[in-house]
Amino acid sequence: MPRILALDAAAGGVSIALAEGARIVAYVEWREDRMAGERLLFWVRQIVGGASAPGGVAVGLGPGSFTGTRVAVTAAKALAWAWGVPLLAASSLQALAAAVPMGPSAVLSSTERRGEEVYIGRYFRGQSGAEALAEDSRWQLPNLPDMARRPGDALVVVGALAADAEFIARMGARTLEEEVGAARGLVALATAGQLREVDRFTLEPTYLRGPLILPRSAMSAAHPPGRELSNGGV
Amino acid sequence: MDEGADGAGELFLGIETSCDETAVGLVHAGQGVEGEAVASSAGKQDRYGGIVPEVAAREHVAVLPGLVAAVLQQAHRQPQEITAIGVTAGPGLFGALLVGMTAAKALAVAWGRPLVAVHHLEAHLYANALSGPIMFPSLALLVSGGHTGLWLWRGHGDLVRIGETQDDAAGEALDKGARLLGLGYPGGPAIERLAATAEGPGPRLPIGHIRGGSPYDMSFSGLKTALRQTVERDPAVNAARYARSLQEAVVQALAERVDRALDAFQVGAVYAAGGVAANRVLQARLTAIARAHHIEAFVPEPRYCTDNGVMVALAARHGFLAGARLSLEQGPRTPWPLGTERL
Ligand SMILES: Nc1ncnc2c1ncn2[C@@H]1O[C@H](COP(=O)(O)OP(=O)(O)OP(=O)(O)O)[C@@H](O)[C@H]1O
Ligand SMILES: [Mg+2]
Repeated sequence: MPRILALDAAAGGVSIALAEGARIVAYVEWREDRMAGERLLFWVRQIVGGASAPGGVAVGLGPGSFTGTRVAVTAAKALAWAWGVPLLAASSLQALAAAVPMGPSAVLSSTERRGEEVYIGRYFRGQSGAEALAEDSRWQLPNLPDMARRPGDALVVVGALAADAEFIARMGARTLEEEVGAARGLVALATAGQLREVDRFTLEPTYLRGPLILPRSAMSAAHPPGRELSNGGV
Repeated sequence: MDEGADGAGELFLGIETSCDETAVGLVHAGQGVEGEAVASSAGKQDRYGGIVPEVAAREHVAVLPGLVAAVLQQAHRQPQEITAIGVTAGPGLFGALLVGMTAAKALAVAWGRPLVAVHHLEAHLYANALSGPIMFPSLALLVSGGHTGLWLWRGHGDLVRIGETQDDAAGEALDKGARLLGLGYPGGPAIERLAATAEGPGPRLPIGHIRGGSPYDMSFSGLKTALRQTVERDPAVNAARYARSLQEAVVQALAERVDRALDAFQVGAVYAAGGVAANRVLQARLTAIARAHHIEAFVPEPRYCTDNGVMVALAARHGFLAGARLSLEQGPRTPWPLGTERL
């Protein structure tokens, strides 16, 4: 079974998994924000240790925390190249959805809420992996996203929005007892063959937002609520 | 090239991402520079009218570790041959530094090589090690886009700051003045080119003197206002002469402090570094002042004056020999004063 090292830091914290096939042999996770720079490589070394290099590196591309995503993507690119192994990637929102216990359920995954703005992913979590129901997007609350779910399927909210009880109630959704870590989801996606191989030199995070952070007041003036936000900023 | 005591078998990789340049250098203790590459987001920054940290950070991710691979290939070197990896840990833009440090840590983990944290300004000074071993004690003049100051350089890792700008850096003053004259960014090289075409000296611009501070402190923030007022008062004088006025004011302020320091301290050499040190008028003035004090002034080649990876590799070598290591749990350090306080 090929060993895979999976990294994700789009949710603000860090999650790292080492897997042999579908079996996770080591896993660490931090929930505190902005710790990726100090924790990620330290724990990669702890986990991989003196063992031979893994057979591949998997990374969540975001969207989410710019800084966290950059740390994970930079680390994954450099590790994969330096070890001479393939680099595999997926959306961090898809990875979060795939970390939910097997369905069938619709999953609304979310990262990096800033005020009324949040990144959301809409996925179907069936017997393997997570299939997209819509494209990942920047969403403006309090509007409710359309989940296009099948009648009877449960709706599970994970990530940043899981802490918003009012949102959960309005969506008629439920949350998990324990928050999920995206690196576990990356392993599930690898097993389902839903990671794509990417270039170790040119890969970039998915930001879904331009590099200029406008003040919040300017944001809401520029984007009337109730719409999916386009890739703004520039 | 400084051979060092422990032979010529050492190879150092340097990674620099403190601002808008992603730079990688590979330096061999015996053979000098073996490879180097620089990618800049300056072009992309231009349309935002200043450096946007998020733009810089995004560009660093996009080109790493590709630049490292290119440099190793250029040098026909294998990762196993690298003695240690040096990376700029500060001062600079936090998010930008973080990308270079993450890449360096990842390579160090994967290759099992030691990591050295490099101070960006100290690295600028170490660009002078390309021309021979650094002589101690010496006087170090760092003049860049973000920093300007004078240090007594007493040994590797032993710097004492004796003076610094109280406001703008010298390069910043040139960049601001250049914008006033309608020149692009970076302003320093444009000012130098334009000033060279002036037919006579320009009007004298008053340069700030610090009262009560160190005799080696300086101030450049008044230059922009002075230049604007001069341009308004005397619009007939052409831009080339104003460029010359501005350059002269900056060079004069720096030269005076260096002259004064050489009167006060016994040193064996003057080392200039940072982007503004690429200025030939400044270089000529420093050479003359040093000669008058019977010592020599050193300045790196222009491409090693501005941000580059070679200087980081050179500084990493000395850090490595001194036992300095970067822990995997250490983040960027900014601000990070260079050396100890003034005497
Ligand atoms: N020939 C020149 N004459 C004068 N100034 C110059 C010349 N070439 C470059 N500069 C100036 O050098 C500065 C850039 O230097 P450098 O790259 O060392 O600074 P930085 O890395 O941005 O700042 P820091 O090192 O303080 O973080 C700019 O202000 C530029 O205008
Ligand atoms: Mg610099």
